[in-house]
Amino acid sequence: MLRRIGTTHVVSPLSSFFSSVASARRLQMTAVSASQAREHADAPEAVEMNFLQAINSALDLALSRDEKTVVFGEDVAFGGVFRCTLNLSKKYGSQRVFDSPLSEQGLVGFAIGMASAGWKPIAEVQFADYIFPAFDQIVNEAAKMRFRSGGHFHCGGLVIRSPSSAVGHGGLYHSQSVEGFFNHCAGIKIVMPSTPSDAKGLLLQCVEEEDPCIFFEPKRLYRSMVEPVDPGYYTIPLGKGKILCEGRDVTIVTYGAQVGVAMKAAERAAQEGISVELIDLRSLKPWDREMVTQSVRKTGRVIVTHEAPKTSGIGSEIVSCITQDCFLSLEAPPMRVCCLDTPHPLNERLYLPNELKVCEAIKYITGY
Amino acid sequence: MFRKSSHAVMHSGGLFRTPRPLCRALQEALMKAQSVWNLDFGGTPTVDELTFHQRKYPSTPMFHVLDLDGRVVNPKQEPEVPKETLIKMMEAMLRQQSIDLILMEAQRQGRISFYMTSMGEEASAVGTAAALDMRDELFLQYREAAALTYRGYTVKDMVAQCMGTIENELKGRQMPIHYGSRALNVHMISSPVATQIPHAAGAGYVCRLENERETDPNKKRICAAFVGEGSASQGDFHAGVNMAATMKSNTLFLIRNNGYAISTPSSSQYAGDGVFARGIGYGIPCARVDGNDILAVFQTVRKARELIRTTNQPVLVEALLYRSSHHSSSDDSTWYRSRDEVEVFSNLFLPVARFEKYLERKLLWTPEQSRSLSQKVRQETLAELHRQEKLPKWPVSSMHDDVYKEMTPEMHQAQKELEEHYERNKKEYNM
Repeated sequence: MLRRIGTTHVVSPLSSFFSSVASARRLQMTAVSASQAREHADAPEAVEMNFLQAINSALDLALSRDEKTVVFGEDVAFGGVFRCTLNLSKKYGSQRVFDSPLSEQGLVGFAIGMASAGWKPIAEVQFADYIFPAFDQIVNEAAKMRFRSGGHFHCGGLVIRSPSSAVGHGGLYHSQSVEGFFNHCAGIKIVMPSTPSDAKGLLLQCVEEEDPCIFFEPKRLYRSMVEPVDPGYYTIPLGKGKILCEGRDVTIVTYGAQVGVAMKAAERAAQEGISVELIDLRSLKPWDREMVTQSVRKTGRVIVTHEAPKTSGIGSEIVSCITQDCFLSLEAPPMRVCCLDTPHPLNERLYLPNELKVCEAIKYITGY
Repeated sequence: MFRKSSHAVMHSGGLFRTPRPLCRALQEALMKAQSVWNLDFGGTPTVDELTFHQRKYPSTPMFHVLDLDGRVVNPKQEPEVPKETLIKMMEAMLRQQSIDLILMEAQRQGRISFYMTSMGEEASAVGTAAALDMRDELFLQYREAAALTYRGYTVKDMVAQCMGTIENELKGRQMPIHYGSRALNVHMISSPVATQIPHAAGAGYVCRLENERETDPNKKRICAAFVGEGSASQGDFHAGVNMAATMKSNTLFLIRNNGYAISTPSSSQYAGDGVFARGIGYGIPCARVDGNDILAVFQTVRKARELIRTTNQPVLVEALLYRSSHHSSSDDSTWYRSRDEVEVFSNLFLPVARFEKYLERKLLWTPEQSRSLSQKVRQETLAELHRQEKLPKWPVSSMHDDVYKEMTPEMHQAQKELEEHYERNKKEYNM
C-alpha cells in the first residue's frame, strides 16, 4: 500500500487555475474596505508569501516567543513533506522540532501529555486522511480532559495541524476534508483558513488558545495562493468570519479552498446581474453564527458550500441554524453544494462542488 | 489462573558453534552501514546458518525480597526505607482495603452507582508511590487508588467523587473511582484504556527537557503510567512505549499483570513472555517483580527511577499479582474462574499480611494496630457516606462549565435555556 506520496510537490494543471483565483481575489477585494478585507496584509513591510510560507512564518514566531513550544510529527525535522517546517529544526534544535515515530495515535497522545504538563505542542498529522488513528485520543481524551476533571486538568496548549482537502490527484487518502467528524465533538476548536494571511494569524491564535485546536490547511493552496503577508506577529480571533464581498441577492457561506471556487462563481453571477455576498467562515468551531444570520436576513437566500461530503457535513449544522435564526427572512430554501456522498475518487472533476455547480445553485435559488 | 506449562527447549546450537570465517569485506561494509538501522552488531553483523529466534519459556523470573512469611530472603536486597515510610506504606494499604470494603458494600446497597476495588493489588500501587517523589506525575488506569491514598487523597475526597457531591472538586462528571488531584500530581483517570500511556510519554518528555534545565537535583521529576496487562494490548501501548523510547522520555511504565482483563485470561491476551518481554523489544530497561511483595516493588521502582534519571530512558516494570476481587461491581467473576483459584491467591499470597509480618518482626507494627486502623477507617468511610448523602449535587448551571476554558456565546445561550427549563419543571426533576 502506498501511504505517503513523494515529498516533491507535483505541479498540477489546477495550480494555474488557482493562481488565477488568487489574482481574482485581489481584484474583487476592492468591493469592500481595504482594512477589513486585507487584515494585516497592508503592513508597511508586507512580504509576498504563499500559504506554506505563511505557515512556516507562524511556526517560526511561535517557537521564538516561547521556549515551551515544540513542533513535531512525521518527517517534520527536515522541513516536512510540504516544506511547512523548513529550517525550523536548524534554528530551534532537535529537542523542539523533531520527528515522531510513524503513529498518529502515538504522536497525538504524546502531544496531549506534553500539553497536560503545561507545554505547547504543535503536532502535525501529515494528511488529514490519517488523523483517524488518533480519533480516540482527540475525541475521548483531548476534548474531554478539562470537562471531566472539573477544570483541574487540561491540554489547552495542544494544536494539531494537518494538510486537508483536494489537490487534484490525491484519490481516496490524500484528499479528504474531515472537519465534519470533529464538529460533533464538544471541547475542541476547528479552523480552516483560505489565505496565507489568515492562515498565519489564525494558527498563531490557535497556539495562544488554551483549548485544544485542530488547524486544517487546504494543501492545494500551499504554493498556488500568494499574497502580501505581515512578517511580524499577529493573531486573528477564532469564531470570527470574514465578508469577502458584499451583496444583496444571495449569501454564500464557505471556508477553506472552496472560498476560491465560490469567488469565481460569484464573479460569473455578477456578470448576470446577481449580487452575491460571500462569507469565509475561517473558524468552524466556534463559528460566526451572528455574521451569517445578519447576512441572510439581508439577502433572504443562502448557499452553503464545502468540499466535504454533503450528508452530515458542517453545512447541515449551518443550514439548520439559519432556518431557525432567519426563518421569516428566507425567500428560498437554504441550499448546500458539497462533494458527493461517496469516497473521494481519483478523478474528481464531477465529484467536487466546482464553480459550475455553485453557479447553478445561485441561478436556482435567485430564481426560486 | 493455573495454566499448564509446556516447557519447550530452544535449539539454538548454531549460536554456540565456532563460526566459520565470514566474508571479511561484507562484515566491514555492514559495520559501516549499521547505523542506518540504529543497530550495533558488536562486530558480527551476519551469520551463515539460518536461525529463527523465539523468546518465551522459561519465563523471566520475578524479583522478590520477602517470602510468604514476611522474611527477607536476601539481606543484600533489602531496601533501606525510613521507618516512617514503612509505616505509611502499611497504613495506606490498610486504609484502601477498608475503604474498598465499605464502598463496594455501598454500591450493593445502591448508594453509589459503581465501584472497583484494589483487593490483592495494594502492594503494587503503594510500593510504587512510596518509591516515587511527590512531584512525580502519576497517570493511573483505575485500580491504583491506593497510590492516591498514599499521597494523601482522603476518604472525604473519595466519597465525594464516588457520590458526585458538591464537595467533589471534579464536579461529579465521571463515574465513581475516576479520581484525580492537581495538588497531588495525579492526573485524572479516564475510562478509555491505555490512552494515558502516550500521555505519560509526552509528559515524560517534558520532564526530561525540564530536568536538563533544572540545576537542583531534588526538583527533578519523572512520570509514571500504570497499566493493566489487558490495556497493554491496545495500540496506544505500542505507540506510547515506542515513542517514549525514541524520545528518551523520563517515564516509568508500571504494568499490573493480575492475570485477567475482566473475564479474559492472559492466555487469550498474549503469547509472549508477559508484557515484560515487549519492553525489551522497544530497547528499554525492563524488570519483572513479585507484585505481592511491596518491598520488591519499592526497591525495583526506586532503582527504575534512578535509571530513568541517569540514562534518560523510560523503564518498564511488570508486577505479577492477582485480582482477588471481581473486576467491578458490574462483574461476577465466578462465571469464568473457580473459587478454588481465587482462594489460593486470597489465602496464600496476601500482600498486606506479608508486609505486616515483616513490620512485626522489626517491632514497627502490631496486629492490634491493623485492627484499630481498619476499624477507624471503616467508621470514617461510613460516616462520610452518611454525611455526603445529605449534600446537594453540583448546580444545573455547572453542566456547561469547563467544556472550553471560556464559554462560547452558544454555550451561554444553552446554559441559560437549560436553567430556565429546570426552573419551570423543578418539581418533576426532584433533584
